[in-house]
Amino acid sequence: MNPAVEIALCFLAWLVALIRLSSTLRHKAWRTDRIAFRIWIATFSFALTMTFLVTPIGDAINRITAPNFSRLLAYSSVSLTLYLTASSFMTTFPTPRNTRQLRYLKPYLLFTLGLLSIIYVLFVSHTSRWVEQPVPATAAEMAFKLTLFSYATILCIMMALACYRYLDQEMVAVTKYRIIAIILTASGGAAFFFTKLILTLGYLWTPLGSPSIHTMSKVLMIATAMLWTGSFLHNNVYTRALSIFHGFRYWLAYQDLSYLVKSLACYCPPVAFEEEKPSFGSFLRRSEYYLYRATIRIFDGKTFIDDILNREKGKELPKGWTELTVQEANQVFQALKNIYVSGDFWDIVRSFRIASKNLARSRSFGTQEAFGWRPQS
Amino acid sequence: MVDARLLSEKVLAELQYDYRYFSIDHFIHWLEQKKGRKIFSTPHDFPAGSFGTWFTDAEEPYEYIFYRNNVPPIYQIHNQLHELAHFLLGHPTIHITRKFLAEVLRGERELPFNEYALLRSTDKRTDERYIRELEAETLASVIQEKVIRSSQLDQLTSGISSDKNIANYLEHLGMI
Repeated sequence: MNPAVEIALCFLAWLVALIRLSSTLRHKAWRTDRIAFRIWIATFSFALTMTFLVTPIGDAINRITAPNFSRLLAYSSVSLTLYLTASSFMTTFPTPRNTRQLRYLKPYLLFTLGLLSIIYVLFVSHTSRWVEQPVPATAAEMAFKLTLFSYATILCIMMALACYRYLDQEMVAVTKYRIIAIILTASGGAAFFFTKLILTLGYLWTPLGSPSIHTMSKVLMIATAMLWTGSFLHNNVYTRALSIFHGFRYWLAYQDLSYLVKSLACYCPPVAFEEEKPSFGSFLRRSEYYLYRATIRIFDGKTFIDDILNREKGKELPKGWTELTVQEANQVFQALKNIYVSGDFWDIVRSFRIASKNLARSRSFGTQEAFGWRPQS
Repeated sequence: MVDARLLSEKVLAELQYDYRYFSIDHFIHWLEQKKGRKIFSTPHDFPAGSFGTWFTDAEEPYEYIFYRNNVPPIYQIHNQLHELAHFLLGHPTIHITRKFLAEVLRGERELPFNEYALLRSTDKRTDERYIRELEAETLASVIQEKVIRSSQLDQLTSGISSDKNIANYLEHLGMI
């Protein structure tokens, strides 16, 4: 990787760690909230990993200490990051299986760190400086990488499963989508580390180190990084995205309601102003508002026509109305006669949609037949 | 139209109402406190073509909102908001007395409603009354927009998670 990119990523990681540090210090999280503190240690540990992976810094460490020592530091700190993240997930998502699996995490971390240290002391410290290639150049490098990538794959799978087991219990829509994003990120991470594992085995059997697997690995890395960014976005972004997503669903409903509004406008002009029909983009931003206003307008028109059709005997028709207008208005009124008018707003909208379709149908077939709809009790 | 919208925003800015707590009763109570007037909002049996009206008390600091009773609740709330908008905008209205109201309640007199929606005539754009209706309906729609926006966000963000630990966790990660 280009040193400039390495430095930029490292800077970003430190920035996140420092931003979180202020909150950790302010709340004295090491005393009051162990999970919050664990999360901060994870961000700090990740920043350290990124620092050790910056080539000029890694080379400097290796010159001062021992050959490839920066790799041992980077692999150890990334193992700690994964452990802290996974354990905080399992503590936070409270399912019995997560609680059971939590107890295996620490021994597995200690085992991995021990194994990395042994491989380093016995073999890696005696090899020449690594040049980062998809397939390891030596058996020592292969063993070293196998240890880390298998650990990372397993922990990512455990994180994804920890979230997946809880998913059904979550009732708040935004958080549910957040958790799905975390599951996808963890799964992407697991897939990425798995491809790295296969490439590492390419040392033993050349076809496993093929360029196609290397390309796949790169794609997975980019996808995981994007998902990772997405899963860390603020809740307001998720809320807005969800609102736009709803807007897509409500657009068709709005078209049906608009047809009714248009039909009613011929017989019942609005008291003040006719709501301007929004563009698709405007509707997505304020879909519920537009549906609500259309609903009010339909009730307005329906009540007005009802008044005219059921006027007292001998009472005159409004200005401009003829017997033909009365007949046409009656057709619209028949479609709206049996709509659901109380209770849940969405039941009313569904009811209006059916009325709208019935009106369109009765107009096409020249019949005044209309069917109402009521929700099942 | 733009002026009516600006006027509405100005009126609502002075109110400083938190739309997350909106219910029609809560809103009326807030207006009573802000304006120093007692507001009576009552469903009423309206004649054909009329949906709501607002009168002010000539003797006491009282406001009377009457809205049509034989329409769905969603429409009743809208009609109340429309009439409250007239009051908030300081539009002119009929002054009635307690004596007059007592006579209405005894069935001796009728409230001065308009018949068959005079406002729905076609050549009304320059009419002073039409402009007042436009302002009131715009104000009502702006209130509705604010309520929907608040309640939508509230609904989507109310209680960050079903589990308190997860809510804390997301907060620690800086996502909330």
